[in-house]
Amino acid sequence: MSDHSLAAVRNNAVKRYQALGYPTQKNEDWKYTNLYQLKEAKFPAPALTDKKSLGQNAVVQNTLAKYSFAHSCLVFGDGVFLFELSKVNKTKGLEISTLSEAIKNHPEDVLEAFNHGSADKMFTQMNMALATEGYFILVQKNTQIKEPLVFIYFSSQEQVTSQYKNTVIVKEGGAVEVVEVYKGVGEVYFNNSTTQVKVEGHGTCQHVKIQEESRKSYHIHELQISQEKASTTSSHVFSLGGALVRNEIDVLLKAPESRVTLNGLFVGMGNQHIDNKTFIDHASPSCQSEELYKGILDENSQGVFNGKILVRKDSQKTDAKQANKNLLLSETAQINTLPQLMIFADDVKCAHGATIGQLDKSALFYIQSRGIKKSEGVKMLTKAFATEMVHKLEHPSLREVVEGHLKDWFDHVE
Amino acid sequence: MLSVKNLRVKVDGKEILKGLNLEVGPGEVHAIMGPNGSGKSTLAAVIAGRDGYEVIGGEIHFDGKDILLLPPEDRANLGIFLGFQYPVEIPGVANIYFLKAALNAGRKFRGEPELDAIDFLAVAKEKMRLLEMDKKLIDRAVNQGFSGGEKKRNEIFQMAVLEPRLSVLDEIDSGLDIDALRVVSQGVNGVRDPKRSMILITHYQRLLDYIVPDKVHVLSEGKIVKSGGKELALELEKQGYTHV
Repeated sequence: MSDHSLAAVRNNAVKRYQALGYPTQKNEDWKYTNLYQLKEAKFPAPALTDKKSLGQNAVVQNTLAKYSFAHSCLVFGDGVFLFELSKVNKTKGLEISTLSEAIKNHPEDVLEAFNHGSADKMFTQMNMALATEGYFILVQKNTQIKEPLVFIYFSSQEQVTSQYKNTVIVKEGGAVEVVEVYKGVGEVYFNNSTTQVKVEGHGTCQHVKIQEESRKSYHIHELQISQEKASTTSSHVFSLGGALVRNEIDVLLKAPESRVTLNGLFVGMGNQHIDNKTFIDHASPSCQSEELYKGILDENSQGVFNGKILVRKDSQKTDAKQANKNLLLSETAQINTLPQLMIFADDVKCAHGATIGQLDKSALFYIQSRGIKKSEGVKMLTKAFATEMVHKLEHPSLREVVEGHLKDWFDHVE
Repeated sequence: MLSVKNLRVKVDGKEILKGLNLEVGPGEVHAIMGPNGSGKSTLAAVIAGRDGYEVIGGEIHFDGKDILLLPPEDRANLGIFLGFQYPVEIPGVANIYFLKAALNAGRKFRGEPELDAIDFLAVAKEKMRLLEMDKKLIDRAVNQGFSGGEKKRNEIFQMAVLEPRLSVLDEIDSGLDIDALRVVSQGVNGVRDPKRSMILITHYQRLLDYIVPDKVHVLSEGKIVKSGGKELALELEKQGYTHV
């Protein structure tokens, strides 16, 4: 009999990722993203981090202060958990722990999470093999957590790879909002993380990722969502930093009447490359999905949107909407957009579209006709384009944090 | 105040205005009427400085100053306001924020101190009362999800706050029911004064029952073909443009 222990699964993942190797652009899923530099970098795992000096770092302290509204906050740095900087608000029906603790306390759930990693994805397998830490959340039946749970990942060491594996389990009728913050303290490093979200019937999970990595770093993240009957999830991805960024999202609508919303905003400058790949599998009838990704690209930055929606043969009454809208602020900025619908059912409502454009000329004239300078009008419209995505966040404090980041970004662009 | 001389304008290579003359003095209200395609909206757009209109001849002076080379924002800040036939929706920009930015842009241009949020709100509230405007509208995004009537009301609200010296109102009456027309007209009449001039562009005499013009002009095929007092509008209503 083969060995199904966690150790065996992880050993197998080592073999898998080594056999798969770094994807090349011949791979349709990586057509517009060149991984050569990352592959050549061969960053090792971080050394043992100096927790004390990291805790005293100004960037770390400022970031922690911004998220003081969190229900609970787990802080990680260079691949390890920073207990001293974290706070956990003990709440009935809610378990928050690190991956290492969960391996002891919830071995079956952890093993299941590891077993569900996509077998053909190199970065997922690499993460399964090498992740050192992460979080584990279990929301018990009918437990509803109002304030967001925040997880912050600091990268401070140069030329290392940090890998986290996160798991969210929401039992029947439970509700939770999870915020992952990736913050660069150092400059050149690689973060390869995965998050798995499993929501049972009538459960709700909002997942927010605020990615503020250093503009010289590599960031690859996979979010895997699996939903049972009448569950609701949403993902909001704000991509603000990183030299090479890949946001990958896989959603499985397993049971009827489940709903998912995917929102993304990516902003690029310099030579940043931001790749968004999403896949929604309508594997059951009467499910809804709504997706909106917006990109604002300046200077020589490049963006990719590759969004696929699959509506299976028996998934009647599917309602799927997908849109990707982009603004290019310079002549040399680039976007490659590939919205794709694959529909095998006949009684469905599906719409998709992509726009690449400059700002709305009639809106700009309207603004100017009221006495506002053209340059100001351009700024106003560009900000408004981004603001729409911020307003999709429900929590006001969270909205404020993201608005602050965007303000910094726009100040930088000017 | 406004002097348009022998104005000729091409749009998409086609000549729309073919030598138009118009003089508007301080405090005067002029109505420009005419059939579809006669060039009424083109005249409004050219005065405001919209892109895509090629001036191939003639002049426009405002207070003796040639404005044809000025960008739209400078014209606005000199005191020209265009009330849009189709006000543009601007998602993500709050109405109140937009109007404050506009008012302060003008004040900055004229070397006046900018208004802070409190002073601005006081001005805005007074004008909202005049326009019987729903308070909710000022916090919403500019014109987004507004009904036709709300959009037109918002135009006049902006005009009332910005206090331009020349307002060019392009079919401000189109799509309004009789109640909305009354309120909008009330707003327009509320800002009439001996220093402020207005050009009302309209299809219908109906508007002129509410806002009584000093002069009425008939625009046809790119030229003003007839001018007269307010009685000219009544005549047009009875006989139609073909008799002019």
